[in-house]
Amino acid sequence: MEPSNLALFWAGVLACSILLYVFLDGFDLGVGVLFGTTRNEAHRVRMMDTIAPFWDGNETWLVVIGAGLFAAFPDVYAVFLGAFYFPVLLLLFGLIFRGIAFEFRFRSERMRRVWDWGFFLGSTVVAFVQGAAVGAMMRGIPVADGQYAGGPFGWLHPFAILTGVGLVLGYALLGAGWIVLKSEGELHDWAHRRIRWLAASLFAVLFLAFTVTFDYSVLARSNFYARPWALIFPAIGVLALVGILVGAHRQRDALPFAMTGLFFVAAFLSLGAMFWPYMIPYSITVASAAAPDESLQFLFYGAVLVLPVIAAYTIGVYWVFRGKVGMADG
Amino acid sequence: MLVPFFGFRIMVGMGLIMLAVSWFGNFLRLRGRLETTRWFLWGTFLAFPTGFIAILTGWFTAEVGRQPWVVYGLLRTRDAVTPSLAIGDVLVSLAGYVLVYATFVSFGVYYIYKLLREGPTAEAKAIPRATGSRPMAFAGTADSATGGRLRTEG
Repeated sequence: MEPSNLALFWAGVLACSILLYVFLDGFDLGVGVLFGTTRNEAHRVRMMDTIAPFWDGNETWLVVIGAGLFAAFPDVYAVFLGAFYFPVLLLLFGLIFRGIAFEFRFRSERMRRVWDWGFFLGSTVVAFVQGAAVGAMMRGIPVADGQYAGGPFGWLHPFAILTGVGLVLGYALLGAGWIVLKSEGELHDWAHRRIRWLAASLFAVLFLAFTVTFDYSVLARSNFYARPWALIFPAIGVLALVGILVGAHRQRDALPFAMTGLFFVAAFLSLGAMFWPYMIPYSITVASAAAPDESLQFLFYGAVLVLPVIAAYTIGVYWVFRGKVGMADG
Repeated sequence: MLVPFFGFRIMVGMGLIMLAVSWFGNFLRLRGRLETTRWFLWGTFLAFPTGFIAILTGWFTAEVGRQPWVVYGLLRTRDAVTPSLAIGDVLVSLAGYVLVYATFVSFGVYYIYKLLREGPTAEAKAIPRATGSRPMAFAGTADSATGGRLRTEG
């Protein structure tokens, strides 16, 4: 069954939203992860300052993804939430605790340590469950009669745990690149020193994941073998990791962040080549999950009105808060 | 059917209280007595939960009143349940939500209470580390949420 043009449009909207979300919320979640690795209060305050104007806007894309799946691909939404019931619960708890930390830590004295832990652990848990979900999807989700057919911890597997840790490191890498871009002085150098170690550990974790824990027989169920040209994407990913190391070695400011972004794009396209046309690997396709065209058409008009507005104000916020974060009483 | 019956009436009642507070408050403001009518200021303060109560009771009216349907006339609640979900999973997640919400809402109310007790300061000063994304950082120093000025005499 071929997907309709409207279903393809919505699959494209979701793909772009996921990539944007991973890139944008990725760097602010990563700053949250790095936040927990220093006790220096001046560094912590400045780290929060680098993401304060952006983080909640970045999470808009998560809402777009959730609402888009619910409306345009209800079968995927149903199976995904059934398969990842507890990870999604942890995702929400993590987002709540890291969100309130922005306000509460500046209002509290004795409790500040608690909100700081909430900010660090919340960011880390959010990154971990997203990575674990990707790993579990690569292994395939058991589906029967259009419903999730596994247990509540079916996602839990050494491979998924390693991809979860990998995404925590990947987001931390984006976060370190962002801090380098947005700060000066001690904090800038502090973040710069961490880039090469983060890149090296990310490579080690992914290497371990794909050599020891990955069951290569699932590739036969994917479209991996039908698309040998897609091997270019993982190759670009490895080159991007090398680019990050080069950027860190030459003390460049923009190169590590840009190369980490390229790494995420390469990883995303690798997954896309492996999964397409499946939305829930390897059972539910774009065509079979799509809502009726009448619904998609109605939603189409909403999307072409609202999405450009979101894009415009997002660009506006990044423009207004461009440049380095001020040094004042940092 | 008791829940939708009372839920709806409480919701409407809260709406009427909110209307009364805002209209009477505007009436007092036009008379120039808004800041000096103590009983009304106390009443306004005590009316702060009305919005929450109205939202919750309205929600109860819709959710309870629609049973046993989840989409009225089309989908029964029992047919809408995720098949893979065990009752234990639901209990654990519900308990988790209650715990998380109870924690951050009580601290949120406490910090708002602290702000109120400190009261507005006479002079607006630059706030260290404040940005537009942290409205609460400004709340402690705002003269008045409605844009009105504090009376220093009388």
